[in-house]
Amino acid sequence: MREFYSLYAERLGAICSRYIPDKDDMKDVFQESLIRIFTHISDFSYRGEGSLQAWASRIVINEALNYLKETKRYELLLLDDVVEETEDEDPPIEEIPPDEIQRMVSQLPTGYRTVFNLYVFEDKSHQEIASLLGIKERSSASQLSRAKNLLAKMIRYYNDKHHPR
Amino acid sequence: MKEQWKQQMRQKMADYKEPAPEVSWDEIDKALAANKQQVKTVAMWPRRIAAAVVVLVTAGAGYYLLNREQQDIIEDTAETRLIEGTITQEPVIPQKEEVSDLPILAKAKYKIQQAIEEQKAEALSAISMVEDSVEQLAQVVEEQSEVQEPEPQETKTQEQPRKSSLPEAHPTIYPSDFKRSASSDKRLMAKVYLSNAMLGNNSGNSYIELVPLYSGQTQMAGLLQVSLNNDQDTTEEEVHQLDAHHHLPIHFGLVLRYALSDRWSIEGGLSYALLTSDIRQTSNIRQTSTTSITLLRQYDADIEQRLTYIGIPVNVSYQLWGNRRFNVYASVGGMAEKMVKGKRYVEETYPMIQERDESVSIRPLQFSVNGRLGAEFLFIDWLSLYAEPGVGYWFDNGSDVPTYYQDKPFSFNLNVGLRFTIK
Repeated sequence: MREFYSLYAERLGAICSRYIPDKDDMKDVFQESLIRIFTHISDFSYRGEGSLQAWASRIVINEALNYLKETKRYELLLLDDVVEETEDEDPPIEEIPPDEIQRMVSQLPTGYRTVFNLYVFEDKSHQEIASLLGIKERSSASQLSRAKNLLAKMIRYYNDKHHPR
Repeated sequence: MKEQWKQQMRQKMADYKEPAPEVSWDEIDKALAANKQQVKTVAMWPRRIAAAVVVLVTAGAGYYLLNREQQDIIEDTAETRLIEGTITQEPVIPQKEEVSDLPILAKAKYKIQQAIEEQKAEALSAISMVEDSVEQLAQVVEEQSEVQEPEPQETKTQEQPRKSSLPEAHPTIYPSDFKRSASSDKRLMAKVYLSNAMLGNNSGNSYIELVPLYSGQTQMAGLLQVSLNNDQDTTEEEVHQLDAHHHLPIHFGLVLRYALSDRWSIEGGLSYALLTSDIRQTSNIRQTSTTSITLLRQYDADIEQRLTYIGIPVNVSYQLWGNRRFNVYASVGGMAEKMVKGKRYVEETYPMIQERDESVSIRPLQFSVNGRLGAEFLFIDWLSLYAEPGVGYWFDNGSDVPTYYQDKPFSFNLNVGLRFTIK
């Protein structure tokens, strides 16, 4: 178990805090995830390189989503469903270090962030996200577009500051 | 959002790490100890896996050895089998002895041992991890096997052998054709044996699965394949364990009664019933071979099942008591039912929370016989409302779908409906 921790904890921790930026909450969820991983390790089936990490990540994400669900965090931002116009261009991220991206994502409001994470990093469709979070597909799309807009602003600000044209 | 940007984002963050939070190992140990009571598992697999892992490692290390010193290696199939059999049965690391004086078998073992020491220091640390987890699991299983009780009555296990859909699905290779297959199929057959073992891999080459088990050298590949194949002649099957709670079905009927005499009458009609069940399903996908059972994956799901039946009842009834408004009677009869609509709402609860709707079909008709005591209220002399508690026997129609009828073939039930009487 300790070996597992030393091998994977940093990555899994990063994933966990992508969903739950609050350090204390994240720690609880992370601990629960580890317990879940260790108690269900017998269910894991080896599928090639990286499969253990992928499996463990799924459990971490699942725990994180459950936590968010229980605390109803992501529902707070579903006030209106008007989808704003999406920006045409995706903001350039080549120059931005990963920890900065992580920081930006963690600053997004919970609803935006959750949908954004699932959509971008877990490659889920809006339909899947909607069923995972118990929201409407339309809400998932609007949350994503807001997340994206907000993130784009942060990215542009960062780029201007660090690499002024 | 463009796919490209999404990919770029994902790649950027793929290897991102953060200092991990400190966790409380005490609490984790405690939680694991508590969980031991709940662990459901196949009692025989941990030690089998341990054996398989040792065999695998031995074979993998053997490859290195063989790769370097091919000419030393066993020339014919008979000897190959000998080696393979011995390794499988005695995966214990052999003691060091003088190489030159030894029979070929011990020599191979010695070299394997040597190879492990020289080449696989890192692998050994991974093995110790595996062994840790295996030991722990074995311990859990031991305790569990003492605790484990027979399943509750409602539990029904269905085994459905299924064709493997895994990308690493292993072709069945028999010793007699090992040479041919060695050159045609170079997939890593050992992979599946790492299932359940905590042999993760993210970087570097410290993991067993990176050992190329064979790379085209026919003889050596044959040896390895055969030795692995001993355990690889496997079938994969999905085992569903269902805990079903069925709700009492109520039949709603519209029947036509024909009075034969003052007391005797026969009736027939249409009956509608909705059978609802809450089912908890645990699906294990496991691989069985002659020597082991490996639990590959587990899915848990909560299922709400709704089956709609339309039936044709035929009854004979005898009036026990009656006046202008009420009748009390006894009846016996039979019914043929057809399930016309079956729906399942499936909520997967592990490993991911997912929901989906499924449809269920039951082709064969459902026949039943029943006896009941009825009471009816007559609105007018040819139209009445009836309620009939009774007992029935539902014949097995061979369907796999868990239903009230299948689970409780002889059971109490209730009919209500409207009756039209012809005199």
